[in-house]
Amino acid sequence: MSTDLGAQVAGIKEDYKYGFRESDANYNYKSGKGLNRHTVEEISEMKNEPQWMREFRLKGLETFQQKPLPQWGGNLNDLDFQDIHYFVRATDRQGKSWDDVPAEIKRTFDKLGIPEAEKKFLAGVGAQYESEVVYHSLREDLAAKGVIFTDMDSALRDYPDLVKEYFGTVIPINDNKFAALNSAVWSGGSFVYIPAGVKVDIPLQAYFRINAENMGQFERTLIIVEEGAQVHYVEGCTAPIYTSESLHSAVVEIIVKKGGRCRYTTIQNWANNIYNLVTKRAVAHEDALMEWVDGNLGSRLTMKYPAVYMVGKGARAEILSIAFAGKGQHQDAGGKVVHAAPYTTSRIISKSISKHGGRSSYRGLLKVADGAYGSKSNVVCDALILDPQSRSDTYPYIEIDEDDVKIGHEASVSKIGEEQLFYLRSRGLSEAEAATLIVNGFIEPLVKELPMEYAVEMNKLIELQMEGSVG
Amino acid sequence: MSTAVASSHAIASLEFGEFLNSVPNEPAWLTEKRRAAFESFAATPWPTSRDEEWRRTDIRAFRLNAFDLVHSPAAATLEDLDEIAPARDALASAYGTGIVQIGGQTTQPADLIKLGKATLTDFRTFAESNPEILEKYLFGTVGTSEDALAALHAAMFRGGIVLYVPKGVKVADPLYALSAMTARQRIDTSHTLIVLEDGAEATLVHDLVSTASGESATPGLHLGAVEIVVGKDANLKYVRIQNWDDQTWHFSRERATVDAGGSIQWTIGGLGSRLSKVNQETALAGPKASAQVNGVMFTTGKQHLAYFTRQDHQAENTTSDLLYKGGLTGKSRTVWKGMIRVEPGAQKTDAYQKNDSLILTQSARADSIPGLEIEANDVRCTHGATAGPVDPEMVFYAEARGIPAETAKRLIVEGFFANVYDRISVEPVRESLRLAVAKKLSLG
Repeated sequence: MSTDLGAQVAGIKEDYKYGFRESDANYNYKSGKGLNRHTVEEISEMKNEPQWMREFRLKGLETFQQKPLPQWGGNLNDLDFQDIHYFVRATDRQGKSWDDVPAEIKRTFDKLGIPEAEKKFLAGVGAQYESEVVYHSLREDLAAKGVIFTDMDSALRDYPDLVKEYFGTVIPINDNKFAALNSAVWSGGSFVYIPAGVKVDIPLQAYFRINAENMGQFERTLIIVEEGAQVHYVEGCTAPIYTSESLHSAVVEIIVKKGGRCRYTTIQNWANNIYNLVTKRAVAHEDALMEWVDGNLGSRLTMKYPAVYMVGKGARAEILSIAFAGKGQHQDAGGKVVHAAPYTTSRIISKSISKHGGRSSYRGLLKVADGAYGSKSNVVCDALILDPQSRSDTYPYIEIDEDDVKIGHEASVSKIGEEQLFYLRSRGLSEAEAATLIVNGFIEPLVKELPMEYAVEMNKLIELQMEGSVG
Repeated sequence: MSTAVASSHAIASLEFGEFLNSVPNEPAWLTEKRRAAFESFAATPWPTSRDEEWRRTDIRAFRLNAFDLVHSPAAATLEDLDEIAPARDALASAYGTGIVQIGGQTTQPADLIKLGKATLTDFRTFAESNPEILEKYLFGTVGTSEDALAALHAAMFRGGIVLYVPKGVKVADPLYALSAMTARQRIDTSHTLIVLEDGAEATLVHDLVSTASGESATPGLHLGAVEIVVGKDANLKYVRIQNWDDQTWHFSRERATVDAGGSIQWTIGGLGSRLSKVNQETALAGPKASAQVNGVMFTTGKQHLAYFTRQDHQAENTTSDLLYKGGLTGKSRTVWKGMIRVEPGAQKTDAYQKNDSLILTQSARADSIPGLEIEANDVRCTHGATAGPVDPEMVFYAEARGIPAETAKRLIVEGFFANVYDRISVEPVRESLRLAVAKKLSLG
């Protein structure tokens, strides 16, 4: 990622500030609370979907109902599946009032300098905003190359064959309870198709394709990178996203074909009432490179382990994960790599920070299948614990079925070094400033991988999170 | 659970009554403990692959009803004694004095003069001579209800070894214990209890050996537990080398608690058995307690060894250092799952765990699952795991200098284990582990 790219993106954002306009779409629908066959059929009906998708959803529902809640990871006992709206049209967000948004979220918006209209959108009380003006030229340029970048519902309508060919192939319905739930009630998300040999040199950002559907609770994203193609997709934004619903459960499926490259960057900053239970998985074919850059700052509980299945010789996987768990938060995050072909390489770097009684857990799987000879993997997890009330866990599963492989794993947990603090304070920094600086240094490997305006916001956010953490 | 599966692992309460008759003169409190554990056993489902600890360890081929736990075993014969003589002689020549048991029944007691003020004896003798001490410690450290096997051991263990070192007593020479099975004695459900009171010191080398082997041998069973209590400023070295034959099932729950200022050096050898499932845990219960845990595993053929370790830091300024090393050949498999747990308030904990696996054949498999759960912030906790084959460049280098490939491989394996041997401060143990590994490598 070069800096002028970042500058370009930052520039777009400047315009973007004034690009908001209220959508005149005024369709209105809200499903009742709770989940049953009727809800699912109704969603499918509302969206006027083909029969196969309706059946897919119903199978999802059936699987969801059969599977027990996972007994590992975070505490899911307070989650009431019958107390959730499974389908809300964008315009309904208007029904809520800005006054309902918690003061601390508003404060964070102000500190990050987020424009008024955008604030309301992020808080889920604004109407649907689209940055058509900014985005239009971008889209034309991409379309000329055959790139498809649209929302999942439109894709199902406009590219039914492509969707049908790949949908649910990377993450099957029965993969886990929450993937099954998403299969039943998904709505929105992105569909990205990059034709062979096309290199998209600016990050595709769901953030710009702003569209309330995309911010949904059960979005479904599918990215197909054809042979030799390249893309960087950016999901979410650093600003906190507030919604009164308590569950976010997305599915992201990615296929990277021979020699292709895909990077998927997420900064998750849900408000602290949200259960964020997300399944993300990529399949990397021969010589393909898949990179997940995954930052988790918000939510009450996040359980998310971006995965790469390397099925072609020479495929590569990189997972960079960062978690910051503050008061009342549990970040159960990590990564999964499966070496299913020879000479595949993977690297997982995880950084986590716990403070104010927060708990961050690294949970990962490194699996090398029989026959994946010549594979190499390295997993490094570092954790910082900032006060005695906080907690850090590391659960790195390693399963090796092949002898000709090189595997390394390291993890460390520590507090901020007294010496580092002393040094910085002797240079005139306050203890809080020094601690923030050290934490910023700690997560620097992640931040430097972000597009520039994200990096700037990320640093600000860490400063906010660190406020009052020392002393 | 289907009834077919249940019945092959069930023991009727009538049979349990018969068992109680076979262990006469036990104190009433012990009988009560056994009864409670039996109830827990009867109420606990048999482990299956759906249980996290058994997910990688398949015991469907194990049939509990193939073993008679109810009746007293026949007395050891001269044949049995002859069979175990080499193992006994090896220990006797290296260490001060010790106890020898076959199937949990003593065949040779320790020399009382050499023991001095310490006690190394069998379970029944200790129950008669020191009932209060036994009552204080028995099943105070190891649980009786973690799973069906833990409950079954607590209900129906037979015999065992007790090492008791009173306050301030320092035993200079290393002691030994031999728990043996033979071609005829195929069951050992013994319980091991080691208590070092405040300021005491001792070293115990404990070998688990059986001589039968090959497909023709009847299945063997060790269903055991080890309880270790290390008092304030006490110092224990415990070496436990499991080298059962390849038809033996080995199930063992082992836990030590170390009080303030105390230390333990605990070395585990995992060499034998058809299948092993071991929980080895160390709790650092008082400030400045420390533990060094060493593991040497070497597997051949179709062996399956699963070791679950814990380092529980419950007090300030405690230290633990765990190093497990495994070499694998044939189609064997090892599972190591470790956990460092730091309780709230256990500040200034320094904890380390590392597992390295050397995979010597294509079909061998090593699962390595380190873990950390930290609820204090002023700590230093690290872990590491590596797995890989013998580096062909090292073999090439050796061959280029005229060393045959097989010798080179042996040297590399020895080099791999060298840093764990170096940690073991009981001299003869290093050599016997080195020899045992070399033997397995050449046969494997």
